[in-house]
Amino acid sequence: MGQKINLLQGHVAELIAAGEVVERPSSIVKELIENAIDAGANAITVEIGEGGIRLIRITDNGGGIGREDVPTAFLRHATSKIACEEDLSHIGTLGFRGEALAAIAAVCRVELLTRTPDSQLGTRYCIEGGVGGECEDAGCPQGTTIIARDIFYNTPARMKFLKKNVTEGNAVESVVQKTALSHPQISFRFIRDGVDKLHTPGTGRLKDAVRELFGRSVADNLIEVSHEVPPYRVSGYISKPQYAKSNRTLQHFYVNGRFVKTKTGMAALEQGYKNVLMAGKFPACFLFIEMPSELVDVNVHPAKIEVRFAAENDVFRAVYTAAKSAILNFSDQTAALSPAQAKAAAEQPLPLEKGTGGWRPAAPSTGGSAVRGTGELHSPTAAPRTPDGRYGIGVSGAAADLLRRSATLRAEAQRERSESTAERSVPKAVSQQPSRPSGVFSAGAERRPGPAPHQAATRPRPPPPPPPRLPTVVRAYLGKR
Amino acid sequence: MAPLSPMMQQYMDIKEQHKDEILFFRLGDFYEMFFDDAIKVSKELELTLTGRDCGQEERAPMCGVPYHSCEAYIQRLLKKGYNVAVCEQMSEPTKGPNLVEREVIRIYTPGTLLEGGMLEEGKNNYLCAVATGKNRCGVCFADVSTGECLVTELRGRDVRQKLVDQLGKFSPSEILLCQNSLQLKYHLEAVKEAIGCRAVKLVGDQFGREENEARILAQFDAIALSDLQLEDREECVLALSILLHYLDHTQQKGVSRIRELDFYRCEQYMNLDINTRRNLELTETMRRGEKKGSLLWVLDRTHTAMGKRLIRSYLEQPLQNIVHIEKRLDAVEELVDQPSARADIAEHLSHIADVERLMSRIVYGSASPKEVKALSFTAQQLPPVRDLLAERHSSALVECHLQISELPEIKELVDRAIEDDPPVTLKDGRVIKRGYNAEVDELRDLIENSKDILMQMEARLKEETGIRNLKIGFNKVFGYFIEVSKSQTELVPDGFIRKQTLVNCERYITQELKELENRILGANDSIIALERTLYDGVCKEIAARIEEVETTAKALARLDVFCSFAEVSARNGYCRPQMTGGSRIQIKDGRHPVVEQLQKDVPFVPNDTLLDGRENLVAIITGPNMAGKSTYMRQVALITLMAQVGCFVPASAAEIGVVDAVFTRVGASDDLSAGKSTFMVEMSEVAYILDNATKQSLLILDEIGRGTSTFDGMSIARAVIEYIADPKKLGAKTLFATHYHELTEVERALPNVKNYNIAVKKRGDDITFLRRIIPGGADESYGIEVAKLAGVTGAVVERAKEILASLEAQAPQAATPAAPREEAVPDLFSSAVESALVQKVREIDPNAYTPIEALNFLYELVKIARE
Repeated sequence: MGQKINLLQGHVAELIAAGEVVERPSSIVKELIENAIDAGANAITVEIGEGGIRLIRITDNGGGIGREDVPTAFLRHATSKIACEEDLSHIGTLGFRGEALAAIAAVCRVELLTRTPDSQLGTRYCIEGGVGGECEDAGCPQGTTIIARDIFYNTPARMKFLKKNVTEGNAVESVVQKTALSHPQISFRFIRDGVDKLHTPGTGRLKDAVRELFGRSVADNLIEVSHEVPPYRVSGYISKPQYAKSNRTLQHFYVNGRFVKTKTGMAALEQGYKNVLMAGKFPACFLFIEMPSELVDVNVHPAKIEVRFAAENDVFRAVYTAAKSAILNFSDQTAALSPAQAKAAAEQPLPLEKGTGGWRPAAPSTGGSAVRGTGELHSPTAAPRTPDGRYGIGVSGAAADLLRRSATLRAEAQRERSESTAERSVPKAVSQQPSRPSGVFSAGAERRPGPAPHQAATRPRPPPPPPPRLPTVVRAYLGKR
Repeated sequence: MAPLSPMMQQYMDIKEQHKDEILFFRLGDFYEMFFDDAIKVSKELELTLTGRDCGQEERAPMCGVPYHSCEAYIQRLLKKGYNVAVCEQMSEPTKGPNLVEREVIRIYTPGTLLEGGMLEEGKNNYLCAVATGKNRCGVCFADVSTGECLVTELRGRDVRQKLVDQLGKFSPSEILLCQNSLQLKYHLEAVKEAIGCRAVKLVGDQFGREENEARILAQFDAIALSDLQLEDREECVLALSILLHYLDHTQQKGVSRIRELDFYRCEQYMNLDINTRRNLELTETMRRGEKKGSLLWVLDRTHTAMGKRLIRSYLEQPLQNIVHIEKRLDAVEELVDQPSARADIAEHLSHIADVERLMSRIVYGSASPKEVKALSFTAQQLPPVRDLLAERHSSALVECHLQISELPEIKELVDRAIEDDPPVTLKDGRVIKRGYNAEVDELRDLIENSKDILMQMEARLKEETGIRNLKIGFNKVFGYFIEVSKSQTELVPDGFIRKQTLVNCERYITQELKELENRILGANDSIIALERTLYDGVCKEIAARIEEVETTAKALARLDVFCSFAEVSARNGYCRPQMTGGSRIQIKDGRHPVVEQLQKDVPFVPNDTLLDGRENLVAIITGPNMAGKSTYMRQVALITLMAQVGCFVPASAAEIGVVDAVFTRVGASDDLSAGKSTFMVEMSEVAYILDNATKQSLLILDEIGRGTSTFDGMSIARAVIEYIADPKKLGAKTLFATHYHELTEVERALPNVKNYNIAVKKRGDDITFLRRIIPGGADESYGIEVAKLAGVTGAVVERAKEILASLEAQAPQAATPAAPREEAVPDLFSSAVESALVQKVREIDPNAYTPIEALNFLYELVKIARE
């Protein structure tokens, strides 16, 4: 009211826009890493000083930038990733907005060192607050190094909003971790205040990267996932049922190679672990969901973490069935393999005729033994104490029949096998009878086909997943994966 | 003169036989020295000099060290160059008139140490013996702490230098020189410092040839000398027997640890002379002799002591056989590809003890219970390591898998016999586990029961006497006693014999108590003696399995080294080199392995290299100092060396044609102490290189001709290049750095010489080094700019510029010699004259001339030429 409306001067406008792209050190690091990946690097080093507020240095061994292109790279809306409108719907690279370098240069002191494979000498270029210097000759390895110092040195207001060094540094570390996981073929190295924090080997195997980042205890407790519900494909690893965490920090979802936060995915995953994990415990996962690019919209948020699915339910189903079938396979495997369990099963007159629901581990997955009613008895000293054989809630009648049939066949085979052995394993199995009638069944209760009643009572049922493919089940029976 | 007391006589008798050593004479809890020894040692070690009655008028000077901490003192004496003979009491001191028997059981010398405390964990400790003959020299090395024994024969010219090179490779701490090689002694004394050797000793050849041979055959369990490849190698036999005899003399318990002889030829390994080893800083830096900053520092990520020693030995001896190199590279590659397995293996390796040295001590009988227990812990790590190796494919790793035995018998024995957390020494018992030996258990029970009995006795006495606070206690002086507080002493019955009075209590003994005490203490002593015997038995049983343990240890060491190479290769981004038998060395994006680790802030600028033995035989590198020429040349040498060691190399791709030697000539060192000036040293090194290099060698020559006048230096440098580049004379691949940018002309003269220069950016007066090697000669010297960069004061720099300007004005051609010229070599004739002559000759037609006309024409030509 009575105020003049001014047209913002160029650099001021840039500062504002930049603030959206570049909120904090971790966003700078994310943008620069994505550039490095798009440049074809197979080794990327990220170094930060003071949480990234004072120094960010990213070095890659990709294709580098040619001398002529260097100044242009820092202009707004300049990108090598897309050239026309059509390209927007087929975004193959990670970066595409043409904003990143310009934004970073607007609010930091930037130094660029780069060399392309065909040049003898590299280029050094400095740009501060949007004002560029000259391109100079420099000795330099092939690839690009970008050094960004003193973030927000010219926008104190933004500077105030930054958290402490430690917090910002943690956010950067998180970005590096997530990117390292989604690109196991690239070797990532992260140095924080002069200390090597992580260094993935870049062998191309996801498990190696997981091992480096999270250690042996996680890496050794993973089940491989590979599942297709066209046009979706879900692959990666999920944690074994006996491995449980008290929070979701180890859940990583990637859509078309990009780390995302997706409630759909998390829900589907947790549903898949329904009867396997204690309430309040969460599984770990490193799941990669591939889908045609038309079915997902990544242009939702500048940080590109949130995405929108064209068909949310389909995605849910894909993840859910992927998780379920992996868990199933895994437990069948361990059930078939464990000799103690085989012996125990042989004891019982009606082994494994459980069919469905109601089998809930009586105790947290790593402890105690599970009562199986008339089914197997677990001795706590038997090898993997997986609460296996969860044929899960919601498996509809036909599927359940199928599963029951396979179970019976398997049990018969086991019985034959153990009848031929002289000794009978005794009391160990029998003596462990922590009776924990889990409400629905107690020792001796009959199995009933169909979803267990308690299920129906408490929760709205998730959409019934499609019946597991026959081959999976038969394969499990045969003891193959 | 009064006779000496019997003990002193005993001392003198023993000392007679050990005149050259310091004699440690065991007296109770101390090792004492007398007379001259005492005076010497008290001065060297700053100990108090006292005296002792010896039966004569004057007291004998005496000085001593406590028995349980003698190792430290012995070590100090060794460092000062003394050998120490230790004389122990062999029998128990009795109260009778007879002297305790004493014998020298061990002589400590620098090269024969076994004790962990005196040895450096990551290095072998070699004893060396040298014997020379007509033109041959036999050299052998033995490390008695690990059981290694190697021997080789040197022949041909320059045997002395070759000997020095071998010594440089092994760095022995003690050298035995056969008496007949007296002339070598001075030579060796001179290089003692360089090698890190503490003692050079002349040893006579006391036994005849037959006896020497017999001794060697017996030691290594061979039938004939040819089994050990020693046939017709008299000098080797002599050297070996000297060494074995010396070991026997110093160890006294036999040299059973040394069971295998390894005869090697120098040609198996890349030839590296002692200067090159130093210049390339393979295992220690030149400036301070530290590990940090050397190639070993970069590559050593081993977890076991055995691995540490082996990796050092691998670096000192790069291979020449491509098959063996590929075998190592395969193993490293597989481990690089399997980071999880590698990490798991490393984890297990880090819990594995120094089995090699441990076994030595067990064989020798000086291992402590804790050390023996460590064997069991080590054995525990072996099954998982074998499992991890079971899935591997490369032949070297499969070999490791097969050769690592899980040592089940040893583990079972140790677990059964030795307590889980045994003490460090045997003297207090509690070493043998319950259940291993019935007698020990019985005696222990006795002691246990005795405690009960004592308690019962105490209770009983309390009741009988009515003394409420009666206690039974023990101390070393009185043994067991009954303690009664002063207030209650009236109640003490007659049977109590008073022994000790204290402030608030009295202590008594009784007959009963004393009898019990005798039984208990007797039991204690019996247990200790029994445990000692049993323990020795266990050690002997373990020692019997020495072969199995040694094979396992060696395989573990190799595995450790492969893991270390793989770890470093993965972390630092190295690539697998492609080995060939040809002469081409081609490196893409090569980096200096050490420098890139030391300068973390600035990215290391990589450079390519091409030396193919044909058109690219000699590379002349010009450019200012400090710009990185030396680093570049060293990196080429190091990359070649690393490849031939079997490790990945810091480059994005590398093709390495195996070289038989690397020669370096770098740095300016004034060896004034040996009476040589810089230039002299330089020329000797060049002479040595030109004499010994072959077509397959790699030469690194940095600034030849520096120590003399410009023209001399330039001429020598040029002549050297021409010699090397001539395939008929030498034809070796060479990197030649020089500040004489006149030498860039040579590229025009010789087809297989190429110029390179190190890129420099000049802006006004300032220069920045771009650290890239690019083809072409340097156009300037930048000496003044470098001076400015180095901080030479401005006034001096300015004046230098003035002088340079005036010099350049006076002799323009000399100052800018790289200006393009028509001819590569200055001609005797001026071009003008030549073209006139040529022109004239071109015009004539010989067929048309008469003899007179031809003669006239000749006169004309001569006239023109003489103008």
